[in-house]
Amino acid sequence: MVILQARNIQYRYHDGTYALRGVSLDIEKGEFLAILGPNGSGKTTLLKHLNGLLKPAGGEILLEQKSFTQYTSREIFQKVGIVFQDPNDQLFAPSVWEDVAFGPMNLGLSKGEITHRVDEALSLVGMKPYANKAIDALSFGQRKRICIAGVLAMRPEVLVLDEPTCGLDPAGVTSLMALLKELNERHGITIIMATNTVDLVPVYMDRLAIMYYGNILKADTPENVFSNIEEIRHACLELPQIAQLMQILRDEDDLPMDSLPLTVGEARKFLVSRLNGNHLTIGA
Amino acid sequence: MEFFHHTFSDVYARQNNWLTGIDVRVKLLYVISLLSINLWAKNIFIPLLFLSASFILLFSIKIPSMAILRSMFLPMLFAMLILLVKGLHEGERVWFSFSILGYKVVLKEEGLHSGLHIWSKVLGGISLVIAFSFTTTISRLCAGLKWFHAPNTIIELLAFMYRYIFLLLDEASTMWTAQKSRLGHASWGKTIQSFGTLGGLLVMRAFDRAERTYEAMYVRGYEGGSILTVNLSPWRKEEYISFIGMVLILPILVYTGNIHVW
Repeated sequence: MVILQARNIQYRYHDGTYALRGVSLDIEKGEFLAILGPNGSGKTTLLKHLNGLLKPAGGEILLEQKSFTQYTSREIFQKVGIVFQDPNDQLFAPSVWEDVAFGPMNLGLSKGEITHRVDEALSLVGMKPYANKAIDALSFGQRKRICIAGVLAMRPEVLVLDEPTCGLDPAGVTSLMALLKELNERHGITIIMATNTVDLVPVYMDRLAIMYYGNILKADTPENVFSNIEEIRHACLELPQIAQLMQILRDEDDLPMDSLPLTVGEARKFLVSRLNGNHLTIGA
Repeated sequence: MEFFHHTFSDVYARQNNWLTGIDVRVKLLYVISLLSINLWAKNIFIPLLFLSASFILLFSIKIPSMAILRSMFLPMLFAMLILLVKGLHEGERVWFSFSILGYKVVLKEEGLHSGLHIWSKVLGGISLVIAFSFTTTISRLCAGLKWFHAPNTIIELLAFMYRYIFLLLDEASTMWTAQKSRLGHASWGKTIQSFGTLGGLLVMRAFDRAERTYEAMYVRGYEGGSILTVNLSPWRKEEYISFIGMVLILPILVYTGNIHVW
């Protein structure tokens, strides 16, 4: 079932820059979608349209088959939560608890319900022991988690994240991605995540949409999108590093393979099978 | 910038001790009343009493003396300046004189007395504020002000200022270092020019951030109103007793002639 639908979205900033040039995209309920694209391709602008922060100059967005115009902003924000790239833009209250409670408080919930939601959201992101800490006493990665908790406390059906791994160390990236995967798989939250880290896509995401120059070039599974190397390069992107290695082994060292392994696990499986003299189809 | 970071941080107020445990409303009442007494004090003894009492209180909860001195440094500097200016320009009777580079410097008794009075009031007042700030977090202070029905705009501004002052300092520090590393401070002229650019850029960045923060608040349902969620519980017996204690101190001090309010 399609939960969010962008139909021919166009948007131009006041300085005349065309950020979106007719974007159409369907987002399935419960999927983990990556929006991959180089800087300035329109990822952030598209995300801001998907939760109604920006109004399209042309086209329309549908939420559960109904146009955004049929919802109030409050209803949209409650269903589609957004996490910004810089956590400092999003965390404005003096302490963690107060910041996470901000959304539920604006929803007009009772004190007991606010406390319940804040505790629940902080537990989900593994930050409950930090509830009374000051925001400025947190690390960058912890701040990102609190941003997510602040949005989760409003219990959205869709979570939109703008480059959430940007600025994190490798351990922080792994831990944050594991958290998002858990929210997606265990709690059924639809996740749309803008990124330009291609290595993450085949490991965590169900589907990806390639953005280039204000348009969606392709939206499909990682296997299908990364099979067209020319298209990836045209969008100023690269294959995941392990896929690059496998591509060199295939094209320059004549190692036959049906399709490129995109993750370390797939590559390992393939190589072990080759070393054992078996022929293996990736993804089988 | 590290100096300001330490000065503004409420890390000590987040510790658990007997002073942080006192209700913020009681502390606010005491501080406001004591500040008024300090302002009306006829002599230097009451301000100095507040200064020593604040120090004793802060030492009792193990606040490092360096942290206290750091917080007092700037007001102390101004207090010394006032003392000096008063001593040099007010009065007739010479207390002390000396010559520097052919100029005669004369400190006068009346000026020094009045300067010392102001100096003691500055130190007394600032020590009370410091004792309050070392034992009260900004969110408790905002909750207290909300309880006293202070205007919401002021409370929100206070909360925002506290949240973003560290980021402003960080951004200023990063830009300052970037300018320095590209010889932006090679001469006095360049330093002034760089400083002007830095100030302008900071204002522009603050506007950008304000816009992004507003968006973040808007998507979480903000439509004006309060950003604070902490609400204080009704007063307990202890708070009433402390409050009555404060109410009694004032007339006693007026009666004994230690402060004059008219």
